[in-house]
Parts: sequence; structure tokens; C-alpha cells
Amino acid sequence: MLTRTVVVDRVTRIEGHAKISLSLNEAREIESATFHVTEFRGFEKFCERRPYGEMPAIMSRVCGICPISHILASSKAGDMLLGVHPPPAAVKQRRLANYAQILQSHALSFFHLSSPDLLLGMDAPAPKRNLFALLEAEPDLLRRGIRLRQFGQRVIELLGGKRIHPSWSGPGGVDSRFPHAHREEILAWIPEALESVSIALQRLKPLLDSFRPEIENMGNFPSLFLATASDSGELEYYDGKIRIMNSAGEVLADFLPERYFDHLAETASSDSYMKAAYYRPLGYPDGCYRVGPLARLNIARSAGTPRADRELAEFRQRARGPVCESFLYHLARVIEMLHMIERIEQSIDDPELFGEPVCAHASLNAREGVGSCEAPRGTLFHRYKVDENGLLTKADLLIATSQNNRAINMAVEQTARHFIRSIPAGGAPADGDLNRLEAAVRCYDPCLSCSTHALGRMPLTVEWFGPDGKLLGSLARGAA
Amino acid sequence: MKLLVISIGSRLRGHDAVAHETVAACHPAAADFERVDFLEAHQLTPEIAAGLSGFDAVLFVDADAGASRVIIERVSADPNAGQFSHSIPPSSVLALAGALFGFHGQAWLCRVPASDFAFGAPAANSADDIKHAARRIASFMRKLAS
Repeated sequence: MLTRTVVVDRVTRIEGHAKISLSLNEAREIESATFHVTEFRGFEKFCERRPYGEMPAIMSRVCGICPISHILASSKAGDMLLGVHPPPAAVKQRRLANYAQILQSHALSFFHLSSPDLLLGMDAPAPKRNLFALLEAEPDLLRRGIRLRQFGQRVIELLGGKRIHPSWSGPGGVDSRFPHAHREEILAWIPEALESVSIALQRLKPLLDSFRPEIENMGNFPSLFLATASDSGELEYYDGKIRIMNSAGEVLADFLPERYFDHLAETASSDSYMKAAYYRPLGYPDGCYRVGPLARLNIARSAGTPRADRELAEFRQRARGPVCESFLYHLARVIEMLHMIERIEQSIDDPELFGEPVCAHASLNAREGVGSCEAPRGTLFHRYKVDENGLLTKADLLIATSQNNRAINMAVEQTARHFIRSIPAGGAPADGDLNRLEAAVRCYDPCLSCSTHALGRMPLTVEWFGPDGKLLGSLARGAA
Repeated sequence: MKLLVISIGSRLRGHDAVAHETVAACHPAAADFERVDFLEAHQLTPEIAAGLSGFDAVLFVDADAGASRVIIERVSADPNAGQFSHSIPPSSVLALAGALFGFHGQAWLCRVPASDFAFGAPAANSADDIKHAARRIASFMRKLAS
């Protein structure tokens, strides 16, 4: 059958540059949809021949939103190269930084990028579908969102010396003791932060009832899920085994993060700089899986903090097994924000956080190091091979967004088929439906800078092509 | 008067660091104020708006390839000035700060000439250019304080 293709170019309110192609059949119905990432950086390549000790600082530059994740994964790979366990104070500093980073990143995704869709509607006029439109419509919620992100960034600044790209953590631990004087400042933020997330949850949960078509048709499909799992079954973001589960809730495998490459692989495609990850035993595409807030909530037995546990129990009522609706990433993200604040509160009540020593010193003891942690968007792996002088001979980064790549594509295609259905000759998709295409992507809060290790903003282009492959039309949007 | 000076730019993009280097040379002018805070920002984000609370005035300093000389001009709140992606312009920061965080003070944008924004971290503009720009800003600050 001949097909035509539509391309949405550029996707807005996400991190990076991307476009969506829609292929139409002869009846001008949606035949398929593809999400393309159009930027490239190549950190894995230019890190070769760099000393392993430099890697956390270099890797923090992969991303301005989640530099802490890259610093932690890189530092942990360095720990393995040294053959040391960092002192408890260092681990607790790293954990606290990760909680703060997930909080600020989720606040950015939910309040700044996705709440215009949720609060103003998918069909709101495009000029009004942005952060600044919330100034009139939802000023209190907007203020709270900005303050939440500010809180997360402040904790990072207190730990690492600056909000973005701190490099206080490295192989063996961190570079300095965390002063106890910072405890009071962090503590003072907690009540407001908890209140803000509670208000966001109370606003979001009833709103979801009005998004039933989106919940059911914007990335609602069975898939595998992958996340870090603790022995206790509680949500875990720093250490633990890697668990992979199917949509029936059955655990397919538990494995050590150090051996992730035995279980997970990536495949490249000719139309995108972003690779797609899959679970090796099932191959591609059957072995594709989802990571991030939805996967973490599906895999954990409990949150491990009281408020988040209450929300998690309610979240679980939405499905008989794992929750498969991608739109509910938003809800999972807000629940995780609540959990992060509770974890931060617990962390600063732990005297060991302020203790010493903060670094275990050793020389190079291994030729390969792997580090992993839960980044805001999902599980992150760094793997380095070094020569006898500690210079990198190979770097491999497995990024959350590339692990969600196949799922993002499936969500875009499902959205296009349900909401756009067809494009008449000379016509174009309705603006609200184009926004739904983008919103399907935004559910995953993709960071394309990370996933291609590429730099840039994330405006989207949509193009559509005819059965003969000829471009029929396109729409480009700025970085709204 | 309580003044917040925000220098904007990446220290890894050549002359984009000129604002930071210029503002660093202006610190002595802070002596005339009740309080001056200096904030170094890679780029402007909504969170910066929250930090304007409690100040009477704000001075943004930024490298500008379109400026042939140091220009200091008033800037006012405008929620429609730019859409949020990675960063927002000063007028959007002011819109958020006014509507959400109670900042109703005056604001200026100082544009410092710059030309080379290539990757790398060379010293920004020449030392003479930075001294000149710093003198202009310091002079402006003293007028403001008086």
C-alpha cells in the first residue's frame, strides 16, 4: 500500500531537538508515526583518552537538568575502578543530591512544561499554552512550582557549590564535609515544599478525570518496566539490583547493575540520533521497556515514606497490575516529588550526613568500572574501560530517554492514530491534536541532550509525507 | 537601596563570560549601597525570579553580539517577551517576579559588546574592554546609590 508521511517538526516543551513524522496511506489515514531526534554530541567518543578522575566533571556537562545523575553514575564507576566503597558520609551526600535533583527536575517537567496542558487544556490556543499563561490562570500553583525547583537547586548548591554542573563528587567519595549549619536552611523549606506538592496532587488527581481519552490513547500499552530495586522493596534511587518486570507484574530478571550489558542492549536507527534499548533475551522490539517514575512506582512494593506510601497505594488502584498508561507518568512524577521531599527530610536528620571521612583514597585497581543510579527520567548506566594509566579506552552511557525511545515512538503512533486519524488533502492536523502528539512525548519528560549526549533546545517539527514519500506539508513550532 | 546584579553567560563559550568578568570588577561600587548581591547565572530561568524578592532594583548584565558599545537601558516586565524553553529574557523574569514574588522595583539591562561565542574558555574580551565596561557599570551603580 502506498503511504504519505506527516512530520511534526519541532516538538516543544521538551529538552532537545526532535521531530515527528506521520506516514499516511492512500486513504490519507495515519499509517505509522516516528519520533526522530535530530541532534548529536558524542560524549562517549570524545571522553576517550581522558583520565578517569576527570569523568564526573566532564559527564556533568552532558545535561544541565540532571547533571547530578551523571556525576553519580560516573563517580560510582570511578569507585569501582579504585575498588573502594565510599565512606557513609559521602554516600549520604550523594543520595541527598540525587533526591534534590529529582525534585527539581520533576518540578520543571510538571509545573513548567506539562502543567499548561493539564491546567489550560490540550486544545487551548498555542500562544496561551505555556508557563506565562499560568501567571493569570494559576499564579499560586506556578509560584509553588518555581519555589519547589528553587528548593531542589538550593540543596544541590549547598552540597556541590553550584546549582548546575557541580563537581563535588568523584571516584572514592566527595570533596568535603557537609556543614551542619546547612541543615536549618533545608529544614525550613520542608513544610512549604510538602504543602506545595500536596496541593499539586489535589489539583492533578481530579483533573485526570477530564483527560480520559488521553490516558487511554496516548501511550497506553503493555510493556516491560525496569528500575533499581532495593532488598526491602522500597523505592531506591542510588544502590541496589536492577529489576525488569512485565506488564503482568511478573519479575523477569534481577541483575547487578555492574552486568547491565549482559542483559540490556541498544539498537540504532537510520532516522534518529537516539538509540533504542531493549532487554536482550526478548530481542528488539519485544524486549523494549520503560523506565522512569512510572516504572519505579510499578516495580517498588512500597515507597518507604508515609505520605508517598499513601499516594502509592491510591496510585495502584488505577490498575490491577502495573500501571501502563503513559499519561500517568505525570501523576507518578508528582508522587515522586512528595517522596523526594520526605527523603530529604529524613536525610538531614541523619548525623552521618554531616560526618567525615568523605572520601576513600586508592590508586587504580581495576580496568573496568560501572556506575548506575536512578536519574529523574529513569535508570542511568555509565561504563568505562581504562588502560594501565587510567586513561579511558571506552565509555558507554545507557541513558533513560534512550531506554524509553521505543515507548515514546509507540505513544506517538497511538496518539496519531486515535486523535488525528487522517489528514485531508490540503489540510493539516488540528493544533490541539498536534499538541497531543507533543504531549505524548512530554509524558516521558525526555531529555534528548542526555539521550544523544547532545546539546540544544527542544522545539518540534511535524512533517507529513504522501504514499510516494513526497513531503505534503509541515508545521514548525518554536520552543514554547 | 538593595540592588541585585545578575551577570548572565556561559564561562565555556568565549566572550559569553564577559558579563561575569565585568561584574567581578565592579564589586567596589557595592560599598555605596545598603546591600548588593551578585548572582552569576549561566542563563535566566524562572527560579531566578524568586530571588528578586526583597530587592529594590535589579541590574542584568549580558554579553551582546549586537552591541557596539556598553549600553545600559531600562527593562520592564513583559510576560509575552519569550516562551520558556531553556531560558527566558530579563523582561520575563521581571514578569514572574512582579506577579508571583512581589518585586516591583526598577530594572536595567546592561549589554556588553562581545563577538566570539565559540566553545572554549578563553578570557572573555580584552582586559581594556572589561575595564571600560566595568567603569560604566560602576558609574551607573554609584548614580543609582545616590
